[in-house]
Amino acid sequence: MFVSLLAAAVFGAPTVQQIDTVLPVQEGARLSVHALSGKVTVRTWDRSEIRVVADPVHGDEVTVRGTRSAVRIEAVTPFSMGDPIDIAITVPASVDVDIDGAFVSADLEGVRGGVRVNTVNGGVRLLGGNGAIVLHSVQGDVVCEGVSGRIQVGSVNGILRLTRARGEIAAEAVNGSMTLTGIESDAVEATTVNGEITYQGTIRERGRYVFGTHHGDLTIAIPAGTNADVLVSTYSGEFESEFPVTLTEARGRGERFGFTLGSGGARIELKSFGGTIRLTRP
Amino acid sequence: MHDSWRDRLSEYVDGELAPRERAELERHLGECDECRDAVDDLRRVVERAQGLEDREPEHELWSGVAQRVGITTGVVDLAERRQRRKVSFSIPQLAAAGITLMMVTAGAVWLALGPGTDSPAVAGQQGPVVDEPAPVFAAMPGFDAAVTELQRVLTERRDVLDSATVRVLEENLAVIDRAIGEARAAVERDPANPYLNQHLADNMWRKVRLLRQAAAIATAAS
Repeated sequence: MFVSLLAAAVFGAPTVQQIDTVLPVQEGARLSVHALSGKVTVRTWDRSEIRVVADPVHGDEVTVRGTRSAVRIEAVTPFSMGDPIDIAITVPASVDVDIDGAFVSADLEGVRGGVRVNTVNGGVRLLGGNGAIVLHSVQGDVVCEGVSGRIQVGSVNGILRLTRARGEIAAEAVNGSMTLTGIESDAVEATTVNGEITYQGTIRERGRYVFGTHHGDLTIAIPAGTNADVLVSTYSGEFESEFPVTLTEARGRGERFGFTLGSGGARIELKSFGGTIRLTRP
Repeated sequence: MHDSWRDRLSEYVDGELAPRERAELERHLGECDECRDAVDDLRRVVERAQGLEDREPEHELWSGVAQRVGITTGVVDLAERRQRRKVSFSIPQLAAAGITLMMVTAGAVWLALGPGTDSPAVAGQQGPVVDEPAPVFAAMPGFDAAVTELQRVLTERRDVLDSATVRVLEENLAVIDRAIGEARAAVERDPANPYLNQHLADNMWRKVRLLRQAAAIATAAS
């Protein structure tokens, strides 16, 4: 199976219709997918093989090439705006996955390696993943759950939702809100221009947490017993807290102030130019 | 066609063949153009996969832009960036340093378009929350030139983008421009406010990142 399919791909297989290809791979192999348009679905199984199923039409072409250490899938169309090509991929959980596309949405579940997805117009959904997690869409929502590692998520014009994530986290949007819940991290930076940010997670004593927005509210859950130094910055926004705080410093015209929770330790920076900064209890 | 070797090419490229088999296959590659081409193809797949970790897709585009606007680029590692965060600069100094830093590092993360933000908050830095000197805002060196150059690249290549993508990019650039305008006005009213200066600088950087991202998308689509 592997021999003939690999050979077909490598030796210039022409347009393929309804491909169903299986390639053997080793532990920790890398899978890269480049597509113009369509949906890429990745699921896992307990075999040391990558299976690729697609139904290209009208001269579209899907090629699968690779070795046991690296496999590349390319889905191309003869026209710049060809039909979407949906690709279903089944992989060993240990693989690292890289998906790059223009009008591509990605849906991944169960991968335990690193995951990178970069698309222009399409959503990204990732369930699981460990290592370097980089998810970005220009026009699409990014939803990520149960990941760990160094996590970077971004959407220019969509929402970001990060749930049960562990590790160093960077999230950025322009015209979208973000919700981070169930976070276990000592380094979080989340910023947007025009949207709200909601955070619920750990505030570790030596951690640093930065949340910033221009037009939007910040809602940050602070567990009871937290030890943190908090700096609040705003220009025309407001500050609210569900629990009493005692200011330890005030700067400028009163739009910038700090206070200490417990014995201090963690650094929390809360910045909203024109929105409300709100502290809550989880 | 040498079918007996063709199914061993993957193992050869992955370095899994025994020395004797490897030597025999290499002798064969000297005689067989098809197998040699296939090996080259497989090597490209493997090399590309190995390069994913540190890739910076916009590198070529950005290098050209940075050179044209007179911005020095170089390799700046994460440790160095973190170290810089511990040093107190005025906001204009930070802005000038930051724009250079951003230009050489933003790609892989935000990648390629990525968030291009500074690295995530760095844990373990203790001490006063506020320690910056009172800044006096000045224009960020290189900002206008970078924006102009990136907008030129985008304008030249916008025809290759679909109208929906162009609209989204323009709407979001407008969102950032409004934020920059409001922040700039606030700084003019309160020029010594470090938050406002930093906020203005952050949004200016954000605009460059989005323009860079847009230009990279247009370039990729060309």
